[in-house]
Amino acid sequence: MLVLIESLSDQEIIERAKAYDHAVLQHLYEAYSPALFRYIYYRIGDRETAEDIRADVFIKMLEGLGSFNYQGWSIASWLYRIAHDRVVDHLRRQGRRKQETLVDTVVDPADGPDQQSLASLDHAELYAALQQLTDEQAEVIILRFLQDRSIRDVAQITGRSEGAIKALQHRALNALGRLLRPVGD
Amino acid sequence: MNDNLSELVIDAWQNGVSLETLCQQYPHHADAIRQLINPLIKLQQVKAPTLPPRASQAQADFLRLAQHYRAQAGAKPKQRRSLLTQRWLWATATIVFLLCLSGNFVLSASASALPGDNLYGIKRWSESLSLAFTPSDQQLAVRIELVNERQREIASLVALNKPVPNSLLDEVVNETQSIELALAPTHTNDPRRDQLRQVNQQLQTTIAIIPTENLSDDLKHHDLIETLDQSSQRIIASASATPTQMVKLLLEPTIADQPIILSDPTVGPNIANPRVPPKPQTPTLEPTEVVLPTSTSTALPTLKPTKVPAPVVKPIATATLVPTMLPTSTEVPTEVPTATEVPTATALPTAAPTNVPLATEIPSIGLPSATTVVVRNPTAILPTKVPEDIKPTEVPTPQPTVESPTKEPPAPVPAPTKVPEDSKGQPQPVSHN
Repeated sequence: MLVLIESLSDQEIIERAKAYDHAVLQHLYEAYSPALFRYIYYRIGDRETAEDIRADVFIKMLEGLGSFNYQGWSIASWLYRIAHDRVVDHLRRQGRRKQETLVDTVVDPADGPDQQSLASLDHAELYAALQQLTDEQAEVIILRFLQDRSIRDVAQITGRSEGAIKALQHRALNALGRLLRPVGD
Repeated sequence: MNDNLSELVIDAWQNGVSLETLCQQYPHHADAIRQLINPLIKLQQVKAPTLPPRASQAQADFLRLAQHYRAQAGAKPKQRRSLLTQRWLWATATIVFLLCLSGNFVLSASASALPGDNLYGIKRWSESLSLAFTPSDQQLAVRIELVNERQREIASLVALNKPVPNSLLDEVVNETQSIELALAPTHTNDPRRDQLRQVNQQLQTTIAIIPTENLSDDLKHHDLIETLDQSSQRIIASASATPTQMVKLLLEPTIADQPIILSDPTVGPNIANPRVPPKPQTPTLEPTEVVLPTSTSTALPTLKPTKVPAPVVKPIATATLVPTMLPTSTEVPTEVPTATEVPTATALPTAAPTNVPLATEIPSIGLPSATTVVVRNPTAILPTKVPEDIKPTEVPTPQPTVESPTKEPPAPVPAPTKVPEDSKGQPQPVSHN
């Protein structure tokens, strides 16, 4: 059944989803739930809050299916857009309060280069580095390289032009390169 | 390295091209490419965060909720949304809202409009509309307020040195009198009486300050003030009288008005209440009899009773009927036979032929009550008394008997011609003198 669903076009999936087709909805949930959780988690920095927001995103999807019209947007982009709005709303309520709830430890800068090069980037270090970026840069990094969304999808999700996303991506990677330890140094 | 090249390098690296290959391909940008790709390599090493344990429960909740939506999926939510999203509905609502808004704006703007302004018609229209929708028991108060508004308009026109339309003056005076009539049957303590009286006085003051150059007819200006003044006095008089008396005053306004008119005999006849065509002649005739002897009897009786009537008669008109006749009547019974003395009544026949029969009838009609009245008002007999003095004291004495003499005159009308011959006059007054 899932195989068949994956062969459907975005428009067909949306039409079935609007009819509250159980199989299609289950497919959407299982396909996008982990990615949405990661996206929210990297933006928020708190696992429990990220889970709450992720669940809320799917409820919003159910509520909005009736009025959703296919206009070239993939349903994934629509889900990320819902998540984006919810995250922005959450961050606004939090007043840009820094989240310190990431459980993983940050790599000690005093460690030797060999250890650093061999160490994988943990969540805490990544989150700490993302916090040094602007919101727009952090979001582009997360969507483009942690969620593997295309330039076009990121432009749709964030409501910016593709050119703006490319420029943001370039500046964000340069900034992140300065914040993270170089590989193989 | 520009944004497009960086995007090209990133795409290539994501498609499996190594960092070294990219650096060799773009040697001039080797450092920039390393700086660009290194964080991507680090990001690749990030372990995906695990979902919290309750995530599976969340999925079950989601699917249950989806089932609920599926069960309810039908016309209900769609109909609501389709109704609310109808463009024509929103367009209509917007137009109606704008119309109400603009209408309200125009009405509020017209509130200060003056006669001659473009919005004045709208103002009057809205006033009449609101009056039409006012409960009947509150309409008088609203009408008084509207008269007050007209008064303010006139004052504003005067202040702006603009001409005051005669039609506006006529309208406001007529409306004032109309309200006065409508208030007649109300209780004397009705606050609207005082309110109308105040408005009336303000109106008089306002009309009085209208520059003469703004008036087409100065005489009319004066008439309006007089009319308003009379109306105001009627309000006061009716407030101090019983309801029945008040109605009587209103029904016979000329009688009550006479004293005021007397001050200006020339104006008197013109100022009569326009709405009450009155029967001024019947009272005027009757009193002449009595007055002639009482007032400066020398000239009046002999000269022209026809001209005198207005000034002389009116006071008596009020007194009329009761007092003046009463004193005479009291004496009449005893002196009826002495009527022969009145040869001097040469004037009487012309002045009031109707009176002659009155005198003869009075004894028979009003004797019982007349005798008592005379005792109270001996002054009426005194010839030195000015008619005006008599009236006020006698007016209040209400006697239905008064009407009888006035009504009966027609019958004896033919008598006058005979009276002088037969009775040789009925000179009660003469006998007094």
